[in-house]
Amino acid sequence: MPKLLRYQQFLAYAFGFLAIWSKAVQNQEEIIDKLPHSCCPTNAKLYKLAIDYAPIWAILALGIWAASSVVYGVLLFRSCPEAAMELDGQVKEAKAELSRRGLDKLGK
Amino acid sequence: QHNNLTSMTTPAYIYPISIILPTYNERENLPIMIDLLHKTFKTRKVDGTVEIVVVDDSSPDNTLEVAQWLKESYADGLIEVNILSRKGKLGLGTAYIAGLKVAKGEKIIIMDADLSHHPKFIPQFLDTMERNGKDKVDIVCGTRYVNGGGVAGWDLRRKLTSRGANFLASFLLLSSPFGGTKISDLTGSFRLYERSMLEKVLPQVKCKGYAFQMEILVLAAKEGAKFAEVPITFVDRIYGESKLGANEIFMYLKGLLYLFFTT
Repeated sequence: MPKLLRYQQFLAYAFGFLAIWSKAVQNQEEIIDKLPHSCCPTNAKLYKLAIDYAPIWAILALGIWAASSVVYGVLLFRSCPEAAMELDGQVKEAKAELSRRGLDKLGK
Repeated sequence: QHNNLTSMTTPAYIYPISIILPTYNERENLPIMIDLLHKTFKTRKVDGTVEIVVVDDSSPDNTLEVAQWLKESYADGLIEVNILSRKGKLGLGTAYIAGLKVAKGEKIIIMDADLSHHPKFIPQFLDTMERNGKDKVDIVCGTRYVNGGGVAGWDLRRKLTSRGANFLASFLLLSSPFGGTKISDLTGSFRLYERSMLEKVLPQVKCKGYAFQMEILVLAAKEGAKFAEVPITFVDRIYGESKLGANEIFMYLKGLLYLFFTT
């Protein structure tokens, strides 16, 4: 079986999720009954909220994960001014060597 | 019809390494690059002469003249500068392809000629590719994002853009619940390639700009390429002259979507 293209992989996961979700919504009473502490009405309400709007929560979670990954990455992103300084020094040395070899004599 | 079994076949690879340097108006930087490369291979011996292919797109500042001077001045067997002069400003992608056609090295290094990439990392690239032995690596990528890497000259906004763009590309193109391909710097352009992999992939590349660098990796990943990374420092000396304008961002997103739907 040929490998799916990236957008097809995403669609496959999305449809899989939606299929499971619609089943969960259909059977939400059974599911909520089986969840811990669902005899308490506030918990039951929260469980129902979670199941009914699962796709929204999933997208929200994805967004939060993405944003934190990027922020984390930026925080860890090293600035290395010493590399610029080292390069400046080496540029000077290189220019001296090139001058010694006669680059300056090259007409414009 | 009798095959002449004694006919001479020219070896395809007469250099261990070819470094492809596309240039456009690099009259100032190119000599320094060549000198730095020369110094690098003075201390890091390789088995043969290192070829440097300068692909110049008719630079108005006459980079070609400087390239020819460098070819003569540095013709000492340690490195060899070969020049490909193209008529007109034809773009980076075709410069790589044209450079690859004339390059006669077994391994190919691609890097920028404006001193943002430092030749001092090349020995680490080579060691990384060689040390894996049986577990051969096809592409060694320089990465700015891993511990030991970094950038000089970028403010917070630029870092945010860079990280954001890489994350988006990585998520859309390489991620997987089962692990996916771990490449931290998708838009980087300092890499060491096993020649055969580059020859296979480069002709298929269609994107331009930053997405071009991504497409090479994504296509290679599809061909089953093995990757390794080396932390590098990137010195941005021309920040301020927009290397990242709205046009570049638009082209990048366009390329990203194209790859999302076609790979």
